[in-house]
Amino acid sequence: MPAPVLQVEELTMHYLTRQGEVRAVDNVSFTLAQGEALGVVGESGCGKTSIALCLLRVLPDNARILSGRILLNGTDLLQLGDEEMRRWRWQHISMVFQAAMSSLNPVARVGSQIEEAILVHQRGSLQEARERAAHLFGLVGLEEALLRRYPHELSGGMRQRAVIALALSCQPSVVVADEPTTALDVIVQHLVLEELKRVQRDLHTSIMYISHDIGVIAQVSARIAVMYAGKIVEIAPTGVLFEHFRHRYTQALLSCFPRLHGPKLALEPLEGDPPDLVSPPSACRFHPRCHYATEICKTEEPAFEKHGPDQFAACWHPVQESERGRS
Amino acid sequence: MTKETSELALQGHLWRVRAQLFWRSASSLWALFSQNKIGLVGLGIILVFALMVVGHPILMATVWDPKVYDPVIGYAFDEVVQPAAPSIAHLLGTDPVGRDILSQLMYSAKAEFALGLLAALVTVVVGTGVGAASGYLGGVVDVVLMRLADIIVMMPTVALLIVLGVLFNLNMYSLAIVIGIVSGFGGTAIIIKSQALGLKVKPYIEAARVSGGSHLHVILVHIVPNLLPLAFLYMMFTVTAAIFSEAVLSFFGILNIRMSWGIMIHTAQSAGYLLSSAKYWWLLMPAGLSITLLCGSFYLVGRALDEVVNPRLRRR
Amino acid sequence: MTGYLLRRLVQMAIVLLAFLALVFILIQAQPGDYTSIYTLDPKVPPESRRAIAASFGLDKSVWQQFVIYVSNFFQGDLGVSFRYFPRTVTSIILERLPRTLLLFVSATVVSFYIGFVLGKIIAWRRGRPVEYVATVGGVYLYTVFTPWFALVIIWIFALQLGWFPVGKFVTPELWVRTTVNSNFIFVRLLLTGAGFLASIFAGALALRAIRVPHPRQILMAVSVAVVSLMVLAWWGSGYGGLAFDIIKHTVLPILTLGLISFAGTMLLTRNSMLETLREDYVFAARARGLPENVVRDRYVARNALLPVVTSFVFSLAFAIDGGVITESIFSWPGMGLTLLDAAVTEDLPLAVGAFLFTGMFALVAHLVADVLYVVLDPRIRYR
Repeated sequence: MPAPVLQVEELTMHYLTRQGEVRAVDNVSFTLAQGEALGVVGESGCGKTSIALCLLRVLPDNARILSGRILLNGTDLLQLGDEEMRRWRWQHISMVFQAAMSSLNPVARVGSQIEEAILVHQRGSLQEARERAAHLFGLVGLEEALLRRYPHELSGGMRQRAVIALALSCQPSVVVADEPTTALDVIVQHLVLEELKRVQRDLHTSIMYISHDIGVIAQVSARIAVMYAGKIVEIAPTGVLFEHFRHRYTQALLSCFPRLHGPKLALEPLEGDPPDLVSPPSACRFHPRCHYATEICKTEEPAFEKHGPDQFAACWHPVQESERGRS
Repeated sequence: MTKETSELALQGHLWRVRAQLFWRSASSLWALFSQNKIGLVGLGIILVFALMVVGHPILMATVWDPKVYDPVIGYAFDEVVQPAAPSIAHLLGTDPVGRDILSQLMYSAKAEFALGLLAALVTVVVGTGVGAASGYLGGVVDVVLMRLADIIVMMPTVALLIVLGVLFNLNMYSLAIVIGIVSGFGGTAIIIKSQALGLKVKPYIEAARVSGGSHLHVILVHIVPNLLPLAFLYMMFTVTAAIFSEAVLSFFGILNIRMSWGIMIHTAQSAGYLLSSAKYWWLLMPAGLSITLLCGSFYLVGRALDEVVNPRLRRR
Repeated sequence: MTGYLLRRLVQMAIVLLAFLALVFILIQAQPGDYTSIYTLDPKVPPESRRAIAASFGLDKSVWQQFVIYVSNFFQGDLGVSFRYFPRTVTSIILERLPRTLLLFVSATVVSFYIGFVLGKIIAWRRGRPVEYVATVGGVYLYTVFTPWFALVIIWIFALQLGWFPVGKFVTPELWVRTTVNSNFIFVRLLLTGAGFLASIFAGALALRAIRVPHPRQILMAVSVAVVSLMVLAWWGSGYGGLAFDIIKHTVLPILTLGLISFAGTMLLTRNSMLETLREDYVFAARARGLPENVVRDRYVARNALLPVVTSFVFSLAFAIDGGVITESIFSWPGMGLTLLDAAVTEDLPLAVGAFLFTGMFALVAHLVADVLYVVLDPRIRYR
């Protein structure tokens, strides 16, 4: 496995609110190799987007990173000064936002926003920036003429591609794609995902996908991390996760996702609501909704154990191979 | 229990629930408002002026001799030259015709409050009425009312009031009503209408209509109470506008009233003390400052309320 | 765009008619008879009295009177002033209007620029002492009792420091020996100002089109050059001193108006900025690692500008309205003072005429605001 570009170690981040501290990210660790695509999947409100915000250090005022390290190409982002971090952003790590429409300035042309990002982060003339913007548009399959358009004059799919071009404008080593296709219809969604995959392959960029839709994640990522209530509960290569998932939450999540191939699963729909992160359940946070929970799940936190090459899960009662194939 | 009494009991119960709900929302609004230091400054200054309103009749009845201190017909016999500079007897001096400035100032405060509140009340009634009707009924009513509102918004207010003052010889009350109508039927109605449009599609309004409530009933019971916080906010701005307009018109000598802060400045001006205001500062400063302070304070309270009512301005 | 403009023009015509009707109703509703004061005025000779009565259609029905009144309005006939008999109301307005415009356009432009810049800063420093001081100060400046405030300004700058004249339009002693009257100089002065604005505007547009580096500095240099050229031209014409006299008289009214209205802009900009700050694209711009000043100016302020521009045009619309107070304190013979004087001396044709004109002015400004909005916000452009 190539050396990791991004290495997140024991990251913990809380939001201070009137109701109390929201433990949005709790002791999260993972790595991302050069050119790799990692997917993070989980219910809404489980802290996926919060991780992305930590990576770019664009947190709201009430957020506190309590511990951990975020090593990007060997530099701990959490140790950088604000101004230094500002220069690192986009240069080394960039992001594709959920809603492309609202992440673009409505009163500026798309092209000028890309040129702006390039000129801010890289020395060079306006002419060079323009040429680069045109090149980027070509890369994501958009015509050069569209650079002169305003965001509202583009269709949803074009806008999302423009935002991807924007994310690539400074050749970052890591791109975080937060629900990159949620707002798009299925066909456009497919095209945009293929575009992202091609870019990842051709430019050798590492991409971290974030989505609630495990189908989207499966299409584009080589590895998947499953998040629940601020923690990563299982992480494994995509194929392994689908065939040999260990965590009971992964099991529940996958059972909501009907498949044509692979082992048949008993449909075990998730009951109850996602936990309140101000006062999360004790020990294993999934226990109130888990059919297999026992006393130990409430009292002791399960360790993040190795279950196979590259596969880790934190569960007291992992899924056994013997259980699979039942119907 | 017969059906009627149970209904009555339910009605009584409903009122209690409504009162409770109102109390709860009012106290949570206050909690938000009291975080706003700027709004509290405004509220404090308004309270000082309210104390003046209460204080004047008490002082007139106890310490101040009406012959000397009456704000309109008094005369400071104890002073040789008028206007007299501030002294122990006349803390803010006297005006060119020998009347006590402090007494005038306190006496006028009452009129300013009455004017402001009357205008604000008219604004709320007209604004919510027009806004609710226009938003809820829609159609021709909406078009006619809103085009009228457009014209009123466009109307240059000071010029309009001056022309009206000359045509109709306005006094304090008619002025308040005119200002109330202008601000209520204009901007307030337009904003309240857009709010009412949002309310109209809420399920409980639908439910009330399906269960047989008349239009009037729905407007009065379901729409208007939900519009009141917004109307209350615009009330504050109307108070500012009313006090300011009164002062301006009085200053120009167009209004038919006996005493007000504007009249105090008008008196100083017509007696020719305008440009020697440094020497005779007590003729202009107290009244001018009072107008500014009271107008500004209502405006500050309005802004603070705006941040409470309008979540888009709240801090994240 | 053309369709939109046409629709707005038709709407405007309807609103104008309704406005005329409203004023007509007011005149009819007042106690006593508008025309009886008119015709009983001893200054008016009997023959013109009859002519006036006929022109108002006194013998006709209210409806016919209304039609005559409206058609007179559209022919630019607003009647004859009592006080300035036999001058027509229209000619008086045309003489006074440019003076008001000069005062207000310069005051509004300056105060909006300053207000916008300061509003930007206090929104950016939300929650710091700067914000509280600026907000409270701004609100009291905004609601200050204007006549009193103007007097304070006069007292400081004219009486104590003696830098500027107390009031009025010109210093009469200077003009006694000249052959030109003040309006001659004034109109040329106004044209110079308009020329300056136009050239700067054109320059800004040209710079935007060709996209050169440092456009701001270039624009600054160009405006300095244009100003010095214009000053030289006036100096050469020999009227420089007279023009300077008029300019000197404008300083204090402009200062007063500017101080009062900048606060309003500042507060509006602040609110608008705070609303824009919550937008996702601002967050996205920060995530892009853009420097704070770029985020503030190109993302937040640029989008927060829209309501400020509208209010700018509206405040121009209310120029005459606000002018009443300032002009009367500074004895500046513009539209506001004309309206007030006419009202106080019961010169009804002039008062009503000035009011009608003021309303029409506001109407046009509203149209301009709508069009500007469409130009500034590309999102509305294609609707």
